[in-house]
Amino acid sequence: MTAAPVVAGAALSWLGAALILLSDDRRGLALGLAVVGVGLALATAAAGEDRLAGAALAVGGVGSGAPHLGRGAHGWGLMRPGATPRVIGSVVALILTVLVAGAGVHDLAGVAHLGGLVVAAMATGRLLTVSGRWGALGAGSALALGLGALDSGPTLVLAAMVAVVLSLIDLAGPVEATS
Amino acid sequence: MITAQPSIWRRAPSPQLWLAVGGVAVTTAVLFGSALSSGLPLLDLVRVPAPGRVMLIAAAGAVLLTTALAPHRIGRWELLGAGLGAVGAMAVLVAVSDPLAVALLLILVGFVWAARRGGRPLAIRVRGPAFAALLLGVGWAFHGTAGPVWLGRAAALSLALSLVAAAGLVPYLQDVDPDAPASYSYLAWTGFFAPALALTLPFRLLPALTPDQATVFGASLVGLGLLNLGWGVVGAWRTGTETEAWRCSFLADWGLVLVGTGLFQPEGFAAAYLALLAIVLVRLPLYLWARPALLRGERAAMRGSVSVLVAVLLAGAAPFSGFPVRLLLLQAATRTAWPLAVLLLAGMVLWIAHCLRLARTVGTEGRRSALGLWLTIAISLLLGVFSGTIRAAAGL
Amino acid sequence: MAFAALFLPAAALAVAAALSGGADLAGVDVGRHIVAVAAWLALAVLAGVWLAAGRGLVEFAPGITTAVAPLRLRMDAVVVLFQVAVLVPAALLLTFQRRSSREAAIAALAAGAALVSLEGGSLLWTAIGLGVCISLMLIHLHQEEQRGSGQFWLVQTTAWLLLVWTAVLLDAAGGTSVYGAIPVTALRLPAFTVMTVAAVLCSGVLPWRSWVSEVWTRRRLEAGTMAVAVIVPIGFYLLVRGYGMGAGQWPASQANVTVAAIGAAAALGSAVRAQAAATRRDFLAEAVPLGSGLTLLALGLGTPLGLVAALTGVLALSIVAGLAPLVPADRGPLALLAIAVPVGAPPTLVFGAWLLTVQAALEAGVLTAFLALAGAAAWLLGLAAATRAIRLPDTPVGAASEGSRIGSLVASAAAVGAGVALTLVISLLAIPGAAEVMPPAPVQGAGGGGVSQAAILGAGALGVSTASGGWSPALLAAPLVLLALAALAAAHMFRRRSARTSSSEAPLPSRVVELEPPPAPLFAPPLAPVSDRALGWLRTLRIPAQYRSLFRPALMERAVTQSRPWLWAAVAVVLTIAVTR
Repeated sequence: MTAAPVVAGAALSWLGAALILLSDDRRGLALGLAVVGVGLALATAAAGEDRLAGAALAVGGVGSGAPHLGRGAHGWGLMRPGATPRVIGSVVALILTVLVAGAGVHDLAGVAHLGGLVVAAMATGRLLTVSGRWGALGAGSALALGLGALDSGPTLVLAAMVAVVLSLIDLAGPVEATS
Repeated sequence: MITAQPSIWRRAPSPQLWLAVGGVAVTTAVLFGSALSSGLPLLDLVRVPAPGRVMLIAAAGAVLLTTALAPHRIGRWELLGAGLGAVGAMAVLVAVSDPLAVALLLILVGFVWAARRGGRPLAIRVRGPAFAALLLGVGWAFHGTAGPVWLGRAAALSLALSLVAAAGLVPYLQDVDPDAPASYSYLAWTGFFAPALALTLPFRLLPALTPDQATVFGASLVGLGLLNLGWGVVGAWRTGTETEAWRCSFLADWGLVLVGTGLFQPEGFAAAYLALLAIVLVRLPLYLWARPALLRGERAAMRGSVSVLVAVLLAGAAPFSGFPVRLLLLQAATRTAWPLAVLLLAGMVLWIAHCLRLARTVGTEGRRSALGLWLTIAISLLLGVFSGTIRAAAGL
Repeated sequence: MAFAALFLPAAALAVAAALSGGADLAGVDVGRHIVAVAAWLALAVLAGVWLAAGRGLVEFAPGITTAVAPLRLRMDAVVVLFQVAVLVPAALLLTFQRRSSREAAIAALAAGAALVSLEGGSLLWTAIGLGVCISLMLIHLHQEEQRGSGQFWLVQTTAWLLLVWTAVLLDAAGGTSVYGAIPVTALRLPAFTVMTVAAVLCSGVLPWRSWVSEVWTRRRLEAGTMAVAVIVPIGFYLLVRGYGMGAGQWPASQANVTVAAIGAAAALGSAVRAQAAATRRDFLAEAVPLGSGLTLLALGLGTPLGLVAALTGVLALSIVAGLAPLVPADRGPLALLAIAVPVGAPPTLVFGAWLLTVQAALEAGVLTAFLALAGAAAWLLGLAAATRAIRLPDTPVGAASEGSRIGSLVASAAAVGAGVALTLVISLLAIPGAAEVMPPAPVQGAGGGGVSQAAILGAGALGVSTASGGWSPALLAAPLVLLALAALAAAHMFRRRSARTSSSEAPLPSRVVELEPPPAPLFAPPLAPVSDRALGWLRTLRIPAQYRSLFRPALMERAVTQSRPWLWAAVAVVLTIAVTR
């Protein structure tokens, strides 16, 4: 096993989390969730985890993003005015996570866990700053995916299921325009 | 019976009914399933410790008591559905043994609970459980890594903070809207979900921590416990509103729980267990009985001697539920370090300053409500008098 | 038979409380009579069964552990003495004070709880019983008047918690807090200090005005004086048990001196306040603290005679606690007698107990001899205060005027009778109680310690015979009593004759009533303004204005609950740094 796919997957998951953080519309959220799921799946699979469980993460990411499409506005909502602190935050989160938790990384699984940690931290940051319903649910799905990636086996499947269920909760509520 | 059934079905909103049925089903499955799960593939993931079992039964009892006998401004079906659903969620949290899975379920439960219509926006109500899930997940993920010592300590601290965040304690206080229905308030976490977590998580976490990490975990809990105890007793005494006073009283109770858990003594665990049972079975129901007066912003119209009885109960005097908690906690604290016992004693003495204030908000409106209040007092008495039996039921 | 002594007295009060409560629900105002009868019955049963059962130790340990510790009850001479000390004033007050049926029920339950507390076979069970008693008294206080119980609650809760902690400390040091099983080395000075603070707070034996005096500022006296009657003895009980835990002594002689000094200071303080009282009620409020102070002085001496004097003082205190609220408002001979009893006028039990105390303090050593002088000074000051109190107005404006002529007569007669039969009281109650915790030396002449009748009472048990002197209460008091009765009879006959002969010449009553000014106090209490000034200073304490913004809990709380998550993250980071360094 080489480190490249793991690092790529972790980087992709960071990118997806940044999309979630920076997007103020549902399309951006859906894309971010899908990218997070795929990135984490790639990282965990490349690190030697069960590929089926890893695939569940990808399915979870895509599945949790899909319900957001078709509800509300049809824009991406990326980099709207006032997003600068979030841009900085997403970079700082990556740096801090690598610096702080990187000391505990000794193998490929650790690198994959770093990806999960970054996603979880950024998703929580989004969750604590957003005020809209779907934005919170989307961030919650990302948080679940990120935490799931910190473990293996059934926990990955559970994380995917939780992420999807959260998106379904949004379907039960009224459509909100903004996050 | 046939003529009664259509009226019940007509009165019960179906989402509440499904929530109630689902909660009962899950709880029953957890309580009985753990005894029968020896052949199931998920055996390692599902294990219900004895204190958790007792807590589930107590929580179900509290829901039935408050639903049937709570003051009539609260919608009974809504309360029953939410309550039994919450018990089901508690059952799942208690049953799952992997802390990371617990973190994920915490997210799920937090969002489902916050998604109910009414009260504050979902995004605000979900912050506490989400942050707790992050802390728990991250702490668990990094406690076992072969990294530097400080990373393990930070992980242990994160695990301790997760419990505090889930319960909405200092320094992760949640705002409590005085006008929101009780079941939408974050006190549902403080007084219902979080006790289940507090009873089971430490038992899951501690065996996996190194001695150094366990020390940090325990010290963090003790420190945060003292902070919440002090904040709670002083806040409940000095704060401007009665709703805030009630919230602070929950903080004080949780302070005792955290200190008891963090001391790692059998008496400390027993004290925490009894305190958590008292929160679920006594303090939370009394808060519900106080809600009408809190909403009106005036004292309850109740006779003086009953108010004093409730005040004595809330103060933790013998023979009520607070007494064995205090005794066991003092035992554990004295064995660990006597200055800690002095601090606890100071908090316990200051405790009485707010009890009469809270007691004067507890009122009854009608016979049913009065029966419920007396039942709650009786439960507190039973918890105090038969604390040894209740401890034995939980293996503590 | 022995188990009957253990359960029957408290059971009688509990049943009476239930019946009184039922009478209240039924709207029949007979509750207070039911509980009064039950209280006297309980006293009679206690005395009768105890004497009939041979006055030996009875323990009840069924092995049931449903609560925090295995249930354990105990009845010995100490318990009986203190139960008498609780039941006598309780019976007097329940009989002669006016209470509703509901109030009577709670008061009876509180007295029953006090009895059970004294029967606790371990310090922990004593604490549990005390806690229940305090709770019931609090309800009684609030039933009567919804104010003025804050100090009582605070002090008693502190005392109770400290007592619980003492039990914990003993458990940690010696493995148990069961009386009779505590290792001698378990009660060290720290644990003893905690227990002493608990006892002193519980009984209100302090040099400054304590809760015992404060209850007399309430409009009605029933609940407050009942609290004094049932709770004050329990504090002394703890210190007496302290002797038992230490095999006849306290852990350090410094503890003895300190406790005795506190007692002397408390007695002096109450005497000073009594002589400066503005009303008769203010004077009577200091009656129990005066007696408590002298009793504590005796208890702290650590000698057999001191312990016997203290236990006799507890019994005297019980009569004072029952008598003081019943003192009638007039200035007749009954009121005179009732006011004289609490300040140790001869030939009452109070006089005998205090005289023994002074003797014991003189015999105990040089330092305690000075404390004896202080005690004697307090006694004399109390007597002076009593002569002044006769001429004081009865109650302050707005307070209900209580008092019972029959009740005060009964209590005064009991005090005088017990004073005349002092040696009987000592031999039946005080010496056995003292011997329980300070056993006599096994071999004659084998060294100090140990209470023995021969060392205190003279031949035939007719008189007190100690190293500092002997006197016979019966022989001294009986003629006094006879003379007093004769003088009373003569005065009564003279008054009747003069009323008959002068009725036709009686002048028309004047419309102008000349008010006699109350007598001035001997001196103003020197430290009275200090406590008020200190309290006032404490109330004005504030954080300086320029620093107030640094500590505003409400703002901090709002920042945490409503702010963006940076504060949460910052807290986590700060804690992480603190923990990982």
